Amino acid sequence: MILHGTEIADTYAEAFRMRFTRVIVTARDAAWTATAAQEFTGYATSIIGCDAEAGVESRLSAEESPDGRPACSTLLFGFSAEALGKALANRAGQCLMTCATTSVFDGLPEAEERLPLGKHLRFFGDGFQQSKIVGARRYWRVPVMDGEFLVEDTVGVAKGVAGGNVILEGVTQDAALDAATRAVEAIARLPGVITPFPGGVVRSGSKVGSRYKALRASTNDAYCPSIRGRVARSELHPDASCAYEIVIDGVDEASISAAMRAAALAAAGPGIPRISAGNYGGKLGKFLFHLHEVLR
Amino acid sequence: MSGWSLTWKGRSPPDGWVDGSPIRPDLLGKAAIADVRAARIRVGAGERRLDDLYDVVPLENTGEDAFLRVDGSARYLGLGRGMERGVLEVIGDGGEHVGAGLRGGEIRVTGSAGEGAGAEMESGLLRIAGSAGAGLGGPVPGKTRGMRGGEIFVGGSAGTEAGLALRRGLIAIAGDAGPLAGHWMRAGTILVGSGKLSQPGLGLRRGTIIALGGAAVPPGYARNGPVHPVWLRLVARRLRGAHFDAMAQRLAQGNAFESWSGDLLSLGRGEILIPA
Repeated sequence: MILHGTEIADTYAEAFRMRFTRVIVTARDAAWTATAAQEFTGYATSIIGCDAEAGVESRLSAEESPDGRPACSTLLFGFSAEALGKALANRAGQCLMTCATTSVFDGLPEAEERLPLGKHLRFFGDGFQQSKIVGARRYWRVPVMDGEFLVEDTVGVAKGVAGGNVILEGVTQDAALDAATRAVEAIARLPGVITPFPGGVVRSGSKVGSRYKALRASTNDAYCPSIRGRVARSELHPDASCAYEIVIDGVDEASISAAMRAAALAAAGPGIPRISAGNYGGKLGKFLFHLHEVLR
Repeated sequence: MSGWSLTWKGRSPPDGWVDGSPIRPDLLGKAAIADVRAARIRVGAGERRLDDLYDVVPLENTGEDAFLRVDGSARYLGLGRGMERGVLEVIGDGGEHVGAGLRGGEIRVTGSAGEGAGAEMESGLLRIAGSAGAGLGGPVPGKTRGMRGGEIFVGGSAGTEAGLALRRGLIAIAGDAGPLAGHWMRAGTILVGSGKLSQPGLGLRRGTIIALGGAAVPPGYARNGPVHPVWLRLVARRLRGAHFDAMAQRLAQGNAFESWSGDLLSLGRGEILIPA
């Protein structure tokens, strides 16, 4: 398949089942909201080495915002509800409760499975915390030095999909990074997905395992241009000198498909000889996203 | 998506008190017309068929799963008592104890309500376009625990002891409220739109009284100073609708409130908020 002059490899991305939660963060202004969301979703690129995978899903309008203030919707993914709950409480406690003027709300109110949030964080109030039920939802008001930290009692958790991806191979590093930037911007406009790596782009794509026993993953040598001549089989296009991977986590299969499609459509063009995808031979992941199918 | 309209025969209610507790959309809204007409209702010391009192007319396309529209009267007792779902629309006054023990659904009263409206409510929405009498959302006589959940919106004023022994839920009054609002309140929120509250929150253990028209704060309260409670913005979102838009706007703007903690003669974990 050729798209805007770019070859679309006949391969697939392999993705996994994960649990996710959606946390809505609000603050006095857009800058503080962004700061809070950035801190909350920091150090959350890959479950290989982080407690969660996280990112900003979207900015919400005043009407969508639970309290009418500038708001961000964030998604947090983990392998189990238990692991996710631990990461959530730690991150919210250290990065949201500490951040000036923030409030935290559940973005999955319909979900039956719940994770404690304010239920745990309230104890920081040392007995001065107060609960407040508005509508059918319980919030905690924890007294802090700039007023009150308002946090929802629990947040919903649901089944999501993590590990959707595309690999963009560029003639030059600039061409590849520009294409990756376009792809991430296109994905950012879609609901229900995040790109958890820095700027949404991965330069250190990984393969499973390593020659060093302590490591679970190691560099994806098949796509490293500087060792093209040393590896048994390079996967790089002959005209490419650089590759970037866009990893996508989403709330369901449809959102991953839509994001991969948007990424490929935005990235394809001059300077990008091929768009590929990463997989493990179909043996590890439950979900396979064939590039040709998502672009059909 | 259908229901029933119950209009007084002869355009006026009967003499004597009418037990409104069988008038519930969850009981009658989907019943066959013969069953609706044959339903029993107490009037004074006796019992009558529903169609002795009302003209029963089917309604189409009400947009609700279970819907009942009924003529109002100040002589009802316990209209919609214990209702669990559906919509009960009262054209006129709701009488005494309208919506008492409400467990779900919505009651809309286009007129006013007497004493004990929403008493011991557990969930759902009671909307009174006019005013409400004493003991709004309080306990029924002889009991000690008031409303346990749900929301009451009063477009006019409320009588004495609004939110008496309130345990949970929201009571919003667009107008003023009589003395002793939030008396012995356990938790929950009372919002009063205008008029200076007299003796609010006596014996308040937890919960919040928001007095937009000011309040004579009782001696058992300690001043905290100005605060900007974000959670009031959430309350503002619940208030959208008739009579409450201006009030919602005041809460949503993030204005400062004078905060008072109390009643320190009781548990002391409640608060009174007054616009600064």
